[in-house]
Amino acid sequence: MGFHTATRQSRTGIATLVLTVIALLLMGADSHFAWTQHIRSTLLSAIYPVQRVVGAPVLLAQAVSQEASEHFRVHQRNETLRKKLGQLRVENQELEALRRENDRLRELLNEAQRLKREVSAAQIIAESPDPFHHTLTISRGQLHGAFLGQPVISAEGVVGQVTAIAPMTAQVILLTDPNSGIPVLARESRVRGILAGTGNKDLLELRYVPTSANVQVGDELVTSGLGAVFPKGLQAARVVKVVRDPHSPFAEITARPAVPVSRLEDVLLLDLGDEGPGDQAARRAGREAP
Amino acid sequence: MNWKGHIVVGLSLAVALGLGSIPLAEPVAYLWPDWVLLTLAYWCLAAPHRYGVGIAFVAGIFQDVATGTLLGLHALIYVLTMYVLIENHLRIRLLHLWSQTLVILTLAVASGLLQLWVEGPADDLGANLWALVPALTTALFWSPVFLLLRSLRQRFAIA
Repeated sequence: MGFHTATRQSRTGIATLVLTVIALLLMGADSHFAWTQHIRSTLLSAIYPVQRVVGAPVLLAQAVSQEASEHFRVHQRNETLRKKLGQLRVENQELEALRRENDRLRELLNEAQRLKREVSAAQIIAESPDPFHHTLTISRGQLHGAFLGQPVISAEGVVGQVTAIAPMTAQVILLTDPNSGIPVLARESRVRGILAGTGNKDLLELRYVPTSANVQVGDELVTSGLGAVFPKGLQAARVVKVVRDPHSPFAEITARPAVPVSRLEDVLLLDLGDEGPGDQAARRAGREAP
Repeated sequence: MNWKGHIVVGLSLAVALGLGSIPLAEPVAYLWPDWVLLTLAYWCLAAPHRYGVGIAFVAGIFQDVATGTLLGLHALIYVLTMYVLIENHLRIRLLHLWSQTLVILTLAVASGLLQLWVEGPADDLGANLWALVPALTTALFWSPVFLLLRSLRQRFAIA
């Protein structure tokens, strides 16, 4: 037994010695000669399938985990993009509102240029809740140069005129106020009359037109320039109904205002034209009082 | 002849070789244990009269090819470490698994140092000592490898 063990051990020792020498020779050869490259490539192709098979699950796991992390990243990115989209939507709405305002102001400006008079823009800051007093409060007052009787228009036509002024604001009486009346004429037939408010925000009355006058439904009513408050030719209303009573000297003519006051946001204040300040009294008198 | 046993031993070494050459991410690659050393160590302890320095030499040559080291370097390392194991296999077999882990750690460190000595630049040994970190993980993996291969050995009656 002891002999056997000794033999096996010495055999292992000898084998180790021999293999060590071979290994050292191989190392020396590998670092100095090229022929070991053949051994290398042969053995490499021999272990390739092993590497392939053993590596497959690991590579698969790596691919899966990479896919998962990619998925997670995409999800995260999706979330941030969604947030970004929300922000941009809000911004877009703001921009849209600004664009609309810009359009409105541009229209106002065009109107102002067409009139060839100095104008100042004002914003509507309040509207009277009283159904029998149709007035607006605008953001221009005495300090900005507003004056009593100043005509107020918008891009669509006549809005009204200033009836009261404060340092920073002014009150505007609308065409539809029962106390309002402006001199107008029908654009086609050149018939003159007074366009008076009814207290109804959508309806105006054309007064003092003879029954025989040729006024048709659909006729446009424009400022006549009489009274020297409004310049001539501004859109004021459109005739929607004509009733001719043979027993009455005047026709009953109903019109719709050119400016939808309830949807108004900005208005223009017309400054004095070329007329002198002396006309201001006349301008005030132009406001028709009952 | 136990052909099944030879096949099992060969397959286990092939798997160890394959595991050694998997492309890994940086942190794992620095900790990847020497699977071939572990597998060889097990078979040489379990059946030293059958699987000895010869198979260690062949596995080492393959490992050199797989890892691209100097041809014969791993062969030399495995032949020397297996020689130490075989010479002391009766004593090591009696040790507890954790004590065996220490033996494996010593052998892994020795093999790492030998590899460093052969191919590393000798003037910058401090930085290269990080290359010995896998020796630690190699030792830590001794227990699971031991248990796994022992169950294989018992199933296929490899003696």
